[in-house]
Amino acid sequence: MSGIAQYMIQHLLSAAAKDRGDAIAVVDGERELSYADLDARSDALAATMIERGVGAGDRVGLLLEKSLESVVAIYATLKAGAAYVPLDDQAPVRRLAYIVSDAGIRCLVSSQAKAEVCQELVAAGTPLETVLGAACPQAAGEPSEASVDFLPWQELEDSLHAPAIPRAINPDELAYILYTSGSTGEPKGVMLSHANCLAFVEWAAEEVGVGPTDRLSSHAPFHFDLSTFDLFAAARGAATLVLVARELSIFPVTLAKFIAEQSITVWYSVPSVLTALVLRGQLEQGSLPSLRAVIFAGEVFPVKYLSMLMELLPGPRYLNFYGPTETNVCTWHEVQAEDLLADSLPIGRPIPGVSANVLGEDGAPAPAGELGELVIGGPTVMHGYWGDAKRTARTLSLQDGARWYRTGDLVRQGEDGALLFAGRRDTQVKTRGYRVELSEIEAALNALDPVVEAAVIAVPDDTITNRLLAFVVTAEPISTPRLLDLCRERLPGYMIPQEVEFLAKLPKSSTGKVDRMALQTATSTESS
Amino acid sequence: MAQPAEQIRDFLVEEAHWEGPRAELTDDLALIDNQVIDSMLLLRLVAWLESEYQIAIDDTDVVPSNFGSIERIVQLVASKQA
Repeated sequence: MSGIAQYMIQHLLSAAAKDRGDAIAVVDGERELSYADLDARSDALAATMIERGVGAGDRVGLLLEKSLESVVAIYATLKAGAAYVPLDDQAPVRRLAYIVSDAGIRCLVSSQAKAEVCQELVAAGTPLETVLGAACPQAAGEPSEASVDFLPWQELEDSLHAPAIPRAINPDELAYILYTSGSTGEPKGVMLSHANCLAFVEWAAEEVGVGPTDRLSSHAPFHFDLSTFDLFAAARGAATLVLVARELSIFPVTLAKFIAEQSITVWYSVPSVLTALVLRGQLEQGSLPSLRAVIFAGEVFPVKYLSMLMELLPGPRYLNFYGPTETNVCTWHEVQAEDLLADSLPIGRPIPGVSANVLGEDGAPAPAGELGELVIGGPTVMHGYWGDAKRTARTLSLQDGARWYRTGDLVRQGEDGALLFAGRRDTQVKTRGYRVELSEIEAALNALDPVVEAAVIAVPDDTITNRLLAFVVTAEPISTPRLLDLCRERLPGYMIPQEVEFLAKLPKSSTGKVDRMALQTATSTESS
Repeated sequence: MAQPAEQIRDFLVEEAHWEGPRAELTDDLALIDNQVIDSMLLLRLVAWLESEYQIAIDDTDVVPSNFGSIERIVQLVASKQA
């Protein structure tokens, strides 16, 4: 099932609509959409987009809470020949405006609930020309943003009869751009093509055996790459995608009830959600009998919590997926009983068609058991960072006709060939599955007027991987809440430090750099 | 006894670093929808409620209907004290 697909992602949808049009494609609370309706509605929205000037190679922003409409918008964008750029609807306007401008987004699909944010994005001088799904919030009589068209969903639905638009098949076209934390202080856009996505989805759907009787969870937000399995493996199998509301993740008991009531068969999320579920979800032996596969990715799953989960729910297969956004999922491991006796879980072996090299400091392959950087090559590897050829050149190279990406992840290869994750080369960390560059948080803190200098460290925490702790030197006293308020104007919630310590000065190494090790050591002695 | 609603408001202002004016953190403000409470804060809030009011909160009590607003939390505390 490896190799380059000769079709586009949206063809998974049209095939499902043709073979199983009446099957339920998406469940959003009380609302449902069949494959035939999802296909028709996304055709109609694609026609509207094209009418408004969206064409091949364009980027369409999605600023939507997870909903039937957001799934329609994803397929509509692909059908219009554009790449979708899913925006974090919880992120501050400033960050959204950066992404909209950086990606050159002229058409945004949103909802009435976000109309004011859309308006703020327009006012921020972004290149937006069309906002679909929201009415302009401006009161009548006021001068309107003449150049920007706001079209509410109601009007979009009027053109439901629009037929599909035949387009040339080019799987190397971009399908989506996912923005992820960037070390220079601004997020960076990872460009992934239809072929990138399908090389992973084809394999994963086949391996998990996704079929029409399956009900897949859609837990990860759409700006998070885990969502591409949920969306497109479901379509490939004509299975049902069950959207999981954000608030459910906050309440483990409610989440457990939801998984049971919705008869979810394939669950995919970050491990910290599963840890919360096993610790506080009141699961009982044999709960969730419908569940047949539990997949996790995005951070290390502590073996002790995985063991507890597998003991309570012995039925399903447990699959560990690994891969930075830049490579899609590129290695995987199916959990075996003996894994639970080890300290950590392997990230396993490459998926078919993908190659994994472990390179030592000298760039030569590291011998088995030795630490090295994981370098991934093959059809799942991204095309680069949007608008940033320099950064792309630092991590991506072409060899033997394949794209190779230096992950920055340190791994060892076991005697049996399986890869083991051992840490990072840089200061990128995970918290609750989110990938965070500590230097991006530092840049945001340093940009604040009262801050003289700042350093952020990650304190390991076995339920959420890492807590974020900021050390800050200020010119004048400022309260922690006030400081964090200012951060919230620049950073999404998961990047806001949990604790702040004010210092008179930061410890420095002999070269004048902030001595993170000293901060880290001071913190671990304090807490032990 | 001090008003639980005020004490919970204090906790949210100090611990959740509530960003808006205190007056906006009303008893009926939707705490989840407005992102006042996330999963980590919820754990701290539950632990704080248990020690502050000498009550036991079961996992099964940690549901949106009991934590949707300050009002709801006050009701939960009262029911546990009864």
